Amino acid sequence: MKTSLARLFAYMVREKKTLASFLIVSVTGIAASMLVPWVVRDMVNYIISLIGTGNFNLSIMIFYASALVSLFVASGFLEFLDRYFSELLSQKVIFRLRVDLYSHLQDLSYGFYDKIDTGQIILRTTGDMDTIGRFIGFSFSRLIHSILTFIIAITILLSINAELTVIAFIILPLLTFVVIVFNRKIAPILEEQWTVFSRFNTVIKEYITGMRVVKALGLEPVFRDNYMDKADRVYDLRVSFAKFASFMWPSIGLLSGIASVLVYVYGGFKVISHTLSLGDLVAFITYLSMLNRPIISFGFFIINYKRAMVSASKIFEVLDAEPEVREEPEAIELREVKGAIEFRNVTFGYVEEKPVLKGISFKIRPGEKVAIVGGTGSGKSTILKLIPRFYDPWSGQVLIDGIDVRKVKLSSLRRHIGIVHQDVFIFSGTIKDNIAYGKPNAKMDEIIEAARIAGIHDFISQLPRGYETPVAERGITLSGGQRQRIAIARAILMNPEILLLDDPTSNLDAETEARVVEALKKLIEDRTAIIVTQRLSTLKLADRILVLDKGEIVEDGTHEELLSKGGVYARLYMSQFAHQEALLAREV
Amino acid sequence: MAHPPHIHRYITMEEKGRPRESTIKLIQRLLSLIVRYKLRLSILLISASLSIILNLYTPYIGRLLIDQGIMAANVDNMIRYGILLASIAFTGWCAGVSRFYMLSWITQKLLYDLRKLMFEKSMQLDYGYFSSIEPGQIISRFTNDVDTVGETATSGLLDTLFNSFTIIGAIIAMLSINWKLTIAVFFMMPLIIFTVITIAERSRAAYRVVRSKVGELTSKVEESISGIREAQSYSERRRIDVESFSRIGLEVMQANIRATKVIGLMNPLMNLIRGGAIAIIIVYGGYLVSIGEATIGSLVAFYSYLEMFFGPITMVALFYNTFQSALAAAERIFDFIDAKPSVVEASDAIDLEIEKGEITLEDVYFSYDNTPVFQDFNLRIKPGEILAVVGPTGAGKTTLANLILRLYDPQKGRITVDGVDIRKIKISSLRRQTALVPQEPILFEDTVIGNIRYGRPDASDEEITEAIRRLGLEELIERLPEGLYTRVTEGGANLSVGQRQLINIARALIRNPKIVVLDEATSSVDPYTESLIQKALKKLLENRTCIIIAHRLSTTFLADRVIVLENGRIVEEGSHIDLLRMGGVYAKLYEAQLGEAVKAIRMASG
Ligand SMILES: Nc1ncnc2c1ncn2[C@@H]1O[C@H](COP(=O)(O)OP(=O)(O)OP(=O)(O)O)[C@@H](O)[C@H]1O
Ligand SMILES: Nc1ncnc2c1ncn2[C@@H]1O[C@H](COP(=O)(O)OP(=O)(O)OP(=O)(O)O)[C@@H](O)[C@H]1O
Ligand SMILES: [Mg+2]
Ligand SMILES: [Mg+2]
Repeated sequence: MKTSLARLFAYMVREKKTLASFLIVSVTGIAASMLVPWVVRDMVNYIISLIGTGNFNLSIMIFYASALVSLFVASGFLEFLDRYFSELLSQKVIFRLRVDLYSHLQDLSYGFYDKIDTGQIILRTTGDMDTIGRFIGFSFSRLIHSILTFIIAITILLSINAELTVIAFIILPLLTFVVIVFNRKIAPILEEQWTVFSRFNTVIKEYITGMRVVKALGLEPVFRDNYMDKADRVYDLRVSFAKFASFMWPSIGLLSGIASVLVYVYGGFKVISHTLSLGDLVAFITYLSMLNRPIISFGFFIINYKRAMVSASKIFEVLDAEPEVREEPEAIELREVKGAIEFRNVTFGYVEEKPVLKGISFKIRPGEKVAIVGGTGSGKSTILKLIPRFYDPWSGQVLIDGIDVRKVKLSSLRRHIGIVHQDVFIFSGTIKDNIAYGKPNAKMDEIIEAARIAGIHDFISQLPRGYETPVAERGITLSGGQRQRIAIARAILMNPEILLLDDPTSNLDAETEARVVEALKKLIEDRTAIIVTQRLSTLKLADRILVLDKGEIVEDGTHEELLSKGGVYARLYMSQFAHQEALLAREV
Repeated sequence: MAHPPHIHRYITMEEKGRPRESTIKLIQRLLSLIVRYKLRLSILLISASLSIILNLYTPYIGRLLIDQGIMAANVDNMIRYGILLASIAFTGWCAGVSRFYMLSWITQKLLYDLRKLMFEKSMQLDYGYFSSIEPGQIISRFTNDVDTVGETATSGLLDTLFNSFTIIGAIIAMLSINWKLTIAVFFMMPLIIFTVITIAERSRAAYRVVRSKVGELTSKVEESISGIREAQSYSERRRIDVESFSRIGLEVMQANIRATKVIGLMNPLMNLIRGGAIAIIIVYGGYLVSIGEATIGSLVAFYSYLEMFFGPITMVALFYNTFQSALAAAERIFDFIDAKPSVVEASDAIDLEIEKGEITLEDVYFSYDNTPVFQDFNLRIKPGEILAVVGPTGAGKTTLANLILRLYDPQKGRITVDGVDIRKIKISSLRRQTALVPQEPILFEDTVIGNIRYGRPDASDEEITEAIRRLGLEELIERLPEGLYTRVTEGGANLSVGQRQLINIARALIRNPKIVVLDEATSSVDPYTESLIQKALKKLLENRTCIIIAHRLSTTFLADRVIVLENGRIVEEGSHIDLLRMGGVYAKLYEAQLGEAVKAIRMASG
């Protein structure tokens, strides 16, 4: 596996033109700025030669001055280009990386999201990207500058005076030492900072999104303890990082200060003993002071580099995650679907060695409507999730029209299946956007038709803004039943051959439910449908009922058959009336 | 069935149209927070001034070294000034270390204090506040905004202060070296000011675009990830989402580059001006040297001070831009800290031990926005009564629960518990004795048992196991991979929806509350388990007042009384049997849901 740096670098190299332009501009710009002290030196020597003579030649001075000004202009312009290209490079890399990450996230299957915290993913697509952007756009370009400046300055310094150069760089090993020590100390701190900060985010997220329970149960003190604990950690880590950082920069300054004292004194002796011209010494010191900035920005670079590597490794970690559900290379396009569904000895679970479904087999004919009932946590939703291949079974097969779903292109499989999940998700946007979620270019009358079947059209149409009414991210201002019906409309709009409904009426009142069931009944007339429900009145949609118990299908038949059998179904069914019966008995 | 009309509240990120606090006010407020760290701030100011003075002093000593040491061929002077330079460097190091450390400390402490302040505020704010703003927006105030303030505000404000010192110091130094040269150079001043102001304005506009695009990108990611399970159910969505994400990403990129172009002009333009200033020094200074009015050393020193002057000016100008985003962030934080809770504790609120648990609502008027959910609403719940509330979706059942638990206050009328207006009861005292099972089960990242314990933080494992047993949920819990100690992932994603509800029920009951509200607490639980819970509830709810909201009418059997709510009005009320006999709305609902089955049973039983 390549290191994060190498991989990041590969992204940069892909932007060949930008990278090349940046490098060219950098080199030219630095060369231009390096010429400045050169001109200054000549000038100083010239001015010295004037001392006391009184014969001031304006035209020579103006020549020097205009040479300087044009150098400034040129280097300023190059600096602008430099900044522009480095920003362009960084933005392009970030853009590519972001889109890659985002697309990859779209492909990762449910199993991945079961294990990871969404806050951490969001941190990766935002904060971490910024860190990397800053690294490439700023630190990397500074580094290139530092290196180039360094090389050029040393060459010039050597050409002015080799001896002085050696004196000036006597402290270089010390500098390297400081940087290395620092480097070693901060790496673990930065790594831990990332983890602690992402945990801190999680606590806040839970606290804010669970506010209903927090307020109703007065949980604020519990969360305060947890929150302050994380906030303390964040604070501690950042302060201990600051301890190291606040030693580093001044130390670099100190070392370069000492270097220039050495040069002053040593060079001074040489000037006095006439082995060095004063102009050379001044020029030497000017060039030497040019190294201050690159050295300090090298210090910055180290920190940003470490930060960026932590961020990059987090991003690549996600990019390297393999989707558990993968399309086979020779997967076929599923064109027409009749709607036969078969489970052949399917075993599946979420946690190793704890199967939720244990060797399930059943067949559903095209156009058949089947209900699945069973106890809480018996695996009903799990069965539905295996059909569009959100998970793959451990063993056994799921077949549609006799074809194993693993042999089919994922997108073509899911195109034929409409699913209403048990927990409804409302996106921010308008009600219309939410219904047309899977088909954004749907026509208005299609949308209205879907809303009508879902029994939500009347409600929407008497809102002042109707279908254009905005709803917040979690649909917070809609009541439970309103949200559920929007989810139903969303799936219906897709006009799928196979419809999977997971407890679609759990939040509907009896009357609304009756109407929705009536409308759905018509809709699914010639489609295959699987309905998971706890409501007897919704069971009316089905021709046949599968009863799931502890991960196995224990009964299979029509309502009447199962009731007369007196098994699990009968128990489930009758328990709704257990108490009613008593009441009724009193009534009669 | 008709729904009451609504206006949905929708608050976007850039809340618009409100009077903004002025920049000066914001800065003052930030400073007032920083000023509290007196000791460290003084150390910071001292060490920073010291390093600035030393910085300013260095070229001066360098000049002495050249003029009096080297030019005068005076080795003693040379060594003396050399040692002086070295000790300045060393003192500068000490000052630098303390300056950097104190600055970081103050910054981090400020962030810590802001976070603490915000949390304390969040404890006072009511539920209504949180449900009116997108959760992502509030979360980013706690995280991104605080950090943005930290990144620029403290260091920026203080740097600006120091930079201004440096600028003033450099000016004084230049004046003292050669006032004629200084004045000549200062002809450039209007140009500098003009450049800074023009660029600052443009870049601020450009960065505003960047910020709003980045906000868009963040919400897009946020939503895509939270809704990923839904997204993957729609095969077209991948293409749509990736396309729209790429579009936003591209816009972020373009906005950034545009801003860079604007701000990138700053340096070259300043360079140009600097070049002009240097040209003046050379020509005019060279002239002064030639007539003996200036020394070559002073010219070199003058040049160093000039650099010291231009560096900070450019920095101050650049800072002014980045500071804008810190100010925007600070503003959002202060907005939060200043928010007025609409549910507040009266100053004379009492600690009420709820004895009977009698609840009354008297002439209550309530609306979320402008359309009332309740008007002149009256209801009396007897001590220890179990009241079932049924009715069409959107009728106001959850809203009723919100009012009784004082998650919202009614605009008119009053609600009492045991005859005391709930606004006169300490909020903490009320909360301690009430419990809610929300319509949408809420789970935290913790174990199953940990989640239940949120109901009563001091409950022991045994008590919780016992509660589970009494609810008849042992078997269900045992089936989880690690039973009660199974870890719950974000939002309870690794539990079935029914299991999530059961945990919420257990959490509410472990509290031992006097008043319980069950809002569709078992809507996704299978009928058998539900009947077990009902049996258990019958015992558990003795001597407690309980409001059961349910669409599934099998749930209402427990109730002593049923009310049917429609459009915020009670249209029917009575016992289950009375209502069935009445043959009204309730009977119709019942018929629709359970009618056929009841007939079947009746037939079966004779
Ligand atoms: N935070 C809110 N802001 C604005 N309007 C709201 C808010 N919460 C609910 N509403 C609206 O107030 C009305 C009553 O909602 P409520 O949640 O009380 O209904 P409900 O009877 O509980 O319905 P359901 O059975 O579907 O849960 C609904 O029309 C809903 O759209
Ligand atoms: N993503 C997941 N990760 C781990 N375990 C899971 C996950 N989803 C479900 N489970 C577990 O698998 C079992 C079956 O869950 P499933 O959601 O299929 O039940 P269900 O029959 O739909 O129940 P309900 O009627 O409550 O909706 C449960 O014990 C649940 O805890
Ligand atoms: Mg389920
Ligand atoms: Mg409700």
